[in-house]
Amino acid sequence: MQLVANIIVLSAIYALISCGYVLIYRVSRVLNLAHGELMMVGAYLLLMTASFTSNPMVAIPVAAILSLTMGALVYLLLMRRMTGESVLAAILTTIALGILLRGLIVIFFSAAHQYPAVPLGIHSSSVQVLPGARISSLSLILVIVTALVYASLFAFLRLSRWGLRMRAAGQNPLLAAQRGINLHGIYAMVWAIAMFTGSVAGMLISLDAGLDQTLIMIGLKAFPAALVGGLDSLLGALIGSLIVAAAEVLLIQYVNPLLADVVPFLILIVMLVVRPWGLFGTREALDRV
Amino acid sequence: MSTLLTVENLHVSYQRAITALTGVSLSVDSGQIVAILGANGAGKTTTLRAISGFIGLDNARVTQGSIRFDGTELARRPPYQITRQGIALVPERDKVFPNLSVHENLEVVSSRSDGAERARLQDLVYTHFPRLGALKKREAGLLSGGERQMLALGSAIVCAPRLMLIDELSLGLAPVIVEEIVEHLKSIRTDLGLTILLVEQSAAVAFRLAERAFVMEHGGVVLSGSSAELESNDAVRNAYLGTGSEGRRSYRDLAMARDKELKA
Repeated sequence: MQLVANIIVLSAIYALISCGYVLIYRVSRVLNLAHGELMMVGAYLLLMTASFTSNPMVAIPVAAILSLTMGALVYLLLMRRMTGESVLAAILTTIALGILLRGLIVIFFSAAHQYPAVPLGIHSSSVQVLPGARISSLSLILVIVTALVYASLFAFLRLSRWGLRMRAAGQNPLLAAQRGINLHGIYAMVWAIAMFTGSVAGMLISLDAGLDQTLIMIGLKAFPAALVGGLDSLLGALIGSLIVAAAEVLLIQYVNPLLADVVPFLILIVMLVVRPWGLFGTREALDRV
Repeated sequence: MSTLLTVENLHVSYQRAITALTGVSLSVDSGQIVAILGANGAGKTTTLRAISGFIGLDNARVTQGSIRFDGTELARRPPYQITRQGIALVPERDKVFPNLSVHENLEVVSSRSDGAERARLQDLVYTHFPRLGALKKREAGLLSGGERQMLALGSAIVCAPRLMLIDELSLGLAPVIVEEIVEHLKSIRTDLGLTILLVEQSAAVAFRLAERAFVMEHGGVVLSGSSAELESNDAVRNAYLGTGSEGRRSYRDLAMARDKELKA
């Protein structure tokens, strides 16, 4: 049962991060390889707000709003200029952005392992979730937040007019623009939402386990989860996260813990060979890369 | 009758190298239906696309000239602003969102019309194209060619346009469907007081619908006049209606041949 609980927690982490990859790719067809770094920046934003206030009910929402704003600014100041350029140029730009952010984080926050939970007075306790299975209270919150985020995203994309416009822009940006949709507004919104969800994941992980640059690795490991499911499918991101997390936990348990960082990328390679568009993705969407 | 759209000396290039339009000038009066005729590659579609605006992915830009709509300069503006000014394009291909339902295709529009006006226009579309009303929940990608054209016209109508640009209304459609669509379009035009600028390969359809027409070749306008004048022009008949003895050649070729004959 403990294994099942561990798989659920790890898949929730990957799912909360991978929805950002999927949203940006689905709407703007850009593979954002800086998503791990942006997630880490979200966690450091919490560290920053925690230095101003010890009230988590203020520090966390302010950090979340800052991450939303920063996501929109990344698009408006940088990625917007990639419109009309090759897909490769856009991907290389996100890689460069990621490297830049890593450097800036070290300059402003140092490379030391830090604990945002300490100034905020947050203590994670152990909670029994299944018979014979315990997880930390922050892990439980992460699982609940992931469920809420996915429910909200599904409802937003299916039922709201802005969600409908995002789906339209993803299918045919030119026609969307000709139907009166401001593409740059839509893209800025989707970058903001992606950075927000990634940052929430980064904040919750760092509150539970502390914060340093190794957080990027978790962000990178969520990318295979997104690709296994299909880069343009939110449902695929959920299932892909479950598959990658299950494989990782089981191999750590029964084979070798050192495989933890290797397994997701092994699955990624197998998937790229067998079915590059993922379990729930569309072949046409991948052809456009 | 006032002039609604004026295009003057319009130059467009693709990828900063390929010149597609070389000084197109035309005007459309309010309430008129105007057609643009021409062979493949003459610049008809590019003219409509330039009026409706380019996005970055097009790799195209207006390098010279002006597009004035009801006194407002629109050249180089993004498509969403142009749509909100009251110009809606029905493109030649990729004209609907295939993974959205029929109703979502009408709902997705972001225009100058408010909620009540949008609902009225959607009702108008369903009234004129009852087939769409019966298929509201069907994915647009599963529609037939004729139904797609109706939906494309419908979603342009929900944009609350004053000027509708239609690229190849009849292309790939059975004559009976074209007939149905043309009749509904005429009726919608009367209901909404629409002005229409259409590009049409079929000169027969164009002359039937339009009051005036422009003939384009090699990126420029080479002839214009009322539909009646152009339809009786022997060179136009030869080039676009295929009814003359000289077969289907370009207008310019025919005009040059005629000049030579006259000089001889």
